[in-house]
Amino acid sequence: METVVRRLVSDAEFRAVAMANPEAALADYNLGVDAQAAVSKLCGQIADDDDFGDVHFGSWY
Amino acid sequence: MSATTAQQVVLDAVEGAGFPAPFKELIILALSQPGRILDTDHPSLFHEIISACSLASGGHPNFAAVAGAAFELCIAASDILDEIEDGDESVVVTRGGMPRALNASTALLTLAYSVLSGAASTGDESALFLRLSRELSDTIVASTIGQDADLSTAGGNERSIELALDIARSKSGSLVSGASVMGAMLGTLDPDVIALYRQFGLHLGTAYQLNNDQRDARSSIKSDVSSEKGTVPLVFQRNGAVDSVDASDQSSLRSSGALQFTWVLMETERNACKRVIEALRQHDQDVTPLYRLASEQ
Repeated sequence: METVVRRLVSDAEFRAVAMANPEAALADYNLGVDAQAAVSKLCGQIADDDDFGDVHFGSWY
Repeated sequence: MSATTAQQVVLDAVEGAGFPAPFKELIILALSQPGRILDTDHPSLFHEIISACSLASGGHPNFAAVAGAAFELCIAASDILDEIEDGDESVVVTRGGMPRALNASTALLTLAYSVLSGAASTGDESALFLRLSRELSDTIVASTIGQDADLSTAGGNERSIELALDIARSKSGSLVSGASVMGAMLGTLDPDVIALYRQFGLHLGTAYQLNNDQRDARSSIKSDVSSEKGTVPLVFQRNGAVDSVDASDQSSLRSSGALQFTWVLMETERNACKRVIEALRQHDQDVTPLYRLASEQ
């Protein structure tokens, strides 16, 4: 998972593919079902944010 | 049996201890900090967890109030020690000085067990409250192991993401797991169901801790950055840096992917938590209050 996130940060081409089609971009990574869903959601969150900015942690305890 | 609340149980315990007024004031101050049981502005997390798991498993609300009170007394005691250990600002230390703050922590911890042993000695449920007491002890011991690992990683030498995640699990994961089990034990003795509540709490507590870690990594008040702690966002940031990194540089926290990575781990834990909730539904647990805990507030 660390590798995927670092690549999302550093590789603009990969990031573009991941934003457009997370399932295809993540296919080569051996992520578990919960991690796959989380990274896909991250790709959705950054799709509208060109500078790979803040993510929405939400309001928890 | 008349209805009671965890807050009332705590107040009765403090009153019944016969503390002199200045000491009682210090104890009440500790219990009134943000998110603690006597804070009227924020919900107290561990009491909420025990209540929710008790409700889900069919436990009696009065028993949940006693268990929640005991747990929150322990947490208030631990908070004082954590702040001192981490070098963070402590309202209790500021008000009473270090020696009195440490003594207040001892009193709070002792009151926690007094609440449980009192309930065990007065009702028909002595075996239940002894089990709760044992669970609370195991939980606090597990949490101190996590805290020790956390303190040992300060200084910026920790580079293992896996260890950083293990620390998050053993610190808050173990606490929330223990609170979940204590709530569940009020309604069920089924070991398979109890094991699921333990998993639920472990994932939920780890998610909470990761959220705390990202918040503290951005904070100028907390000591995580200045003491170069081995939390997930700070380790990720250090590992990706070519040169020595200025962790207080907020843009670096974002541009390195540290916040995004921490978010992904948090979301992964939350997804796992929701899968466990579905498994609990299959065991006829009323999972609505559990989903509420796993959702954003």
